[in-house]
Amino acid sequence: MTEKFADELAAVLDKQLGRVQPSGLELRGWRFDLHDLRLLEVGIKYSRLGGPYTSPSYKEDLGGEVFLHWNNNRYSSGKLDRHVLQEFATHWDLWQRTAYTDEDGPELAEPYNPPEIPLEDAGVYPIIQGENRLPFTVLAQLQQGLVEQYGLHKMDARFKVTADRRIVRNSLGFAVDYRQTPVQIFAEAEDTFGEAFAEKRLPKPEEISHLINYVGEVTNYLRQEITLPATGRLPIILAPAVTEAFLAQFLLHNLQGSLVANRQSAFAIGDFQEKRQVFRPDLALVVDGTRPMRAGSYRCTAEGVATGRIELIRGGRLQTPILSRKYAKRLGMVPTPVPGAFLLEVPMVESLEALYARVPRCLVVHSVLGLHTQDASSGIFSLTADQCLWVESGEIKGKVKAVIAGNFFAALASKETLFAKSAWDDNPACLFVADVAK
Amino acid sequence: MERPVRGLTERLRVDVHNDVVERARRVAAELNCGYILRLQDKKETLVNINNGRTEEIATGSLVGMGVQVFTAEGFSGFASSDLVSAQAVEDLLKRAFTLARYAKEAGGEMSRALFGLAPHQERRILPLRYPYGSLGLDRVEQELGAINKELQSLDQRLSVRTIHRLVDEEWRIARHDGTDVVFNTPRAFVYNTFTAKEGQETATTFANIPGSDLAVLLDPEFRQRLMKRSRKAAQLAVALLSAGRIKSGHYKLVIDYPLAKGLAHEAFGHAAETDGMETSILGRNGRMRVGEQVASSIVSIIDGPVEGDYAYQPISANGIPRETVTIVENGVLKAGLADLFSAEAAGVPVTGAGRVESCHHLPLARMTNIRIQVANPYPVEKPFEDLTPADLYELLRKYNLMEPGEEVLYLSGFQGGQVNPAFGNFVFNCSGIYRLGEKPVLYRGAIFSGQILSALQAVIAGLGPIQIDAMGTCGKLFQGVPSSGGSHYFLVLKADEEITIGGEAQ
Repeated sequence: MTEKFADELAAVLDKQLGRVQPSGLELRGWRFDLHDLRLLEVGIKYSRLGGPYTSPSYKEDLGGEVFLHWNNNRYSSGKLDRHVLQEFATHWDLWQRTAYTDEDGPELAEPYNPPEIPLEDAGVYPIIQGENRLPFTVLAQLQQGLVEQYGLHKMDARFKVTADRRIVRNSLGFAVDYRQTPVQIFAEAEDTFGEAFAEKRLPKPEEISHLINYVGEVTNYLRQEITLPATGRLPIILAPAVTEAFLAQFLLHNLQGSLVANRQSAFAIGDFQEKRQVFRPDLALVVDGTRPMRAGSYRCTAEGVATGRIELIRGGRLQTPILSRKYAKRLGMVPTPVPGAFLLEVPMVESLEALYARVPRCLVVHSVLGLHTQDASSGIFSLTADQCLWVESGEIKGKVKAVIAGNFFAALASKETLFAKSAWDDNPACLFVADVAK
Repeated sequence: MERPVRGLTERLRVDVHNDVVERARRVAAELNCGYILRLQDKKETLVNINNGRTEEIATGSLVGMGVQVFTAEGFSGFASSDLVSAQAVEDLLKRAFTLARYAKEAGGEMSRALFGLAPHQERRILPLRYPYGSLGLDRVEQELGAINKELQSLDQRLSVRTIHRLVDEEWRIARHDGTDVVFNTPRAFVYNTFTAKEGQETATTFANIPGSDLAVLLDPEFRQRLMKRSRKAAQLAVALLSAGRIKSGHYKLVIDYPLAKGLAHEAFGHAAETDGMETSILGRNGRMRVGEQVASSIVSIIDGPVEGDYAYQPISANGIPRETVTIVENGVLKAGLADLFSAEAAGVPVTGAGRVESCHHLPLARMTNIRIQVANPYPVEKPFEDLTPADLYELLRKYNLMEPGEEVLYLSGFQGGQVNPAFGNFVFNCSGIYRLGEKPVLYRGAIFSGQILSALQAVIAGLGPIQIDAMGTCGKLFQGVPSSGGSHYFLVLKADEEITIGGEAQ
């Protein structure tokens, strides 16, 4: 079905190549990225499974994007849906009417075979067909674990499995066709603390146990509220998930090629050309889309740029922005993979507990409110940390709420900032000094 | 071009699916189940101009349907597809029915709320002056290019991104009880993002004009307002380059109406949504605390659909007309934003608050346009866009809302917010902060955080008429739906220990 759709779409587009349209446009090339999705989702709200807000749900959708290259540097960008072929004349007319001039318009990818990355778990298909009730079983297991092992009674959770057949093609003959099976599980207890599992495979038993134990332990600590014992300049530790969210908000954002080229980033193109030192010399930021069965992995971008492992920052120095073909052309650089996953590589201590030992007292931040509202271009943050633990002499004393403020760029530049590995996360916990207020 | 082109009798694209609606009714009768069928047909265009160059013109469409099935006992399942046909709806109904049976086997939650409703038929089609497709893309691109160019020329340190989005969206909701409603939710905006850069300093601000059609681009009044807002935002971005950081603490505050929308939305609206009442700070044992004093006695909070508004939705995703609700009247909690499935448990009437991002989602109780009204507001003569921080200082002094030498901060420019209704914590962020005085001093924006029940008690005055076109996108439970609202031009809040401006340590 998907392949037939792709074949027919390619055929109708090919038929138009080189023909001068009544609009005066002449199609010089095309590319499309098609996803045929089927997914099943089961959820729990207020510890009740499958109520009207979390009804077990099935979804099917065939969609994607198409990009057309016309003569005279004209381009069209449109969404694909299942109805495009039936209503091709209407879409064809629309795409011509919405053609725009772009002197930096990208070239198409020449045919090649992008790296084969294992991304499909056959166990997902019977679940979507309803032959395997694993999501129901796992949600029940999570609920039971949180109640029996940790005495937690209020849980919200969801389990989503997706089967995605992806076809990327262009008019030069580039053709990639593969299947991937993203799986996402999220569990939150007492409206306080949640953790997610996201891979392109079903979870292993030990990963479910980790979800129960991590959510259970942290939530129980966060139920013992104390008054914030100190304010002012204090060490704070961002938990691994919070570090990752900070990296996405402040670092990845500013590494986007379109923002760099348009002077909307904290970094200028000259900074990359001269490989300016912006962070500490032992810090690297890596994009890696090649890890088998990982959530952020893929074979190629919609433009046909191969997946890969690249360093956006090395030795604390800027290496390259994240570049689409258009911005690579405009900036005279090489297109990059998109950051499905990004990894901060920096010397780390062995565990979060090892970080506790480095400071007499600190605030461990497990959740912040308002991160998406921050001005990413400045690196400055001012946030409510609504779920924090106060640690003194290596011992967790209880939950506190605080307002934290500082400069994340300065934290990544400082040699005083410390990092700790996490066996379950891509990115580390991060300790630095910030302003803390009640 | 000023002609209503749409009316109640006009046929919409979703009208053609009578066979789908009929088949759903027949199959559901055979299965002995209830259902809510949601048909959606959406077209949209996005134009993105960046520093004078067209970055992208993108078009998109979404045609699809979702059906939520309830067994006679009340177990539910949901299935959706981008295929819209009589056979497809039969397949979806059967699949959703099977999922409902799985829910029963797994000991799932039951709800029979759907079975108590009266059937409803209605068409609510918003007349538009400049609907989707009424203007060539060349002209749209040209108008946006002119806006972008003019704003870019204000200061060489500025870069300007101008985005225009125009959405033509139609819905048809049908139920097993014979309900069949049709409505449209058209929306549009022009949104400017300003980034000022000098050396290693960078600052970003925003300005926008929302509406329901191309008037946001073509109507001279809209254009004038957009440009005034944009010039202010652009000047603010440049000024922020040399601004310092405020000391954290508890201050007497003045917030502008976009921030007041943030306050109403984050600090109160979400907590008033009945699907969260079991843990909301506005609930007790799952029941809404109706009749209790929750705000200053001068404060009222209203939510409801407004024609021409960016977040307009006249009928809920469950096919129930959306009511305008006075949630708080003179400080007293009066009603909730109640959808079909949670109103009864929360002890309040259904108000048609259910909304969805798309036909592939399940409805949640949501806001549309939420606004704060303050009793006996102080008059302000100038339009909001013409007022400066110095003007505001003069107004506060004139109305004795500020003593000479008193420390009062004015927070300007909404940058988004977030709330945890279970704990009553909310935050929102502003673009810049002025310490008011004869010569106001500018600081970088900082988080405004507080406790829901303290924030509205702190409101002591409103200045100016009501303005409710502050737009946003609400992301509750990962579903993005348009939101909007506002208040008087300015609200004054007394200093409160539970309301903190984050910043440098004191």
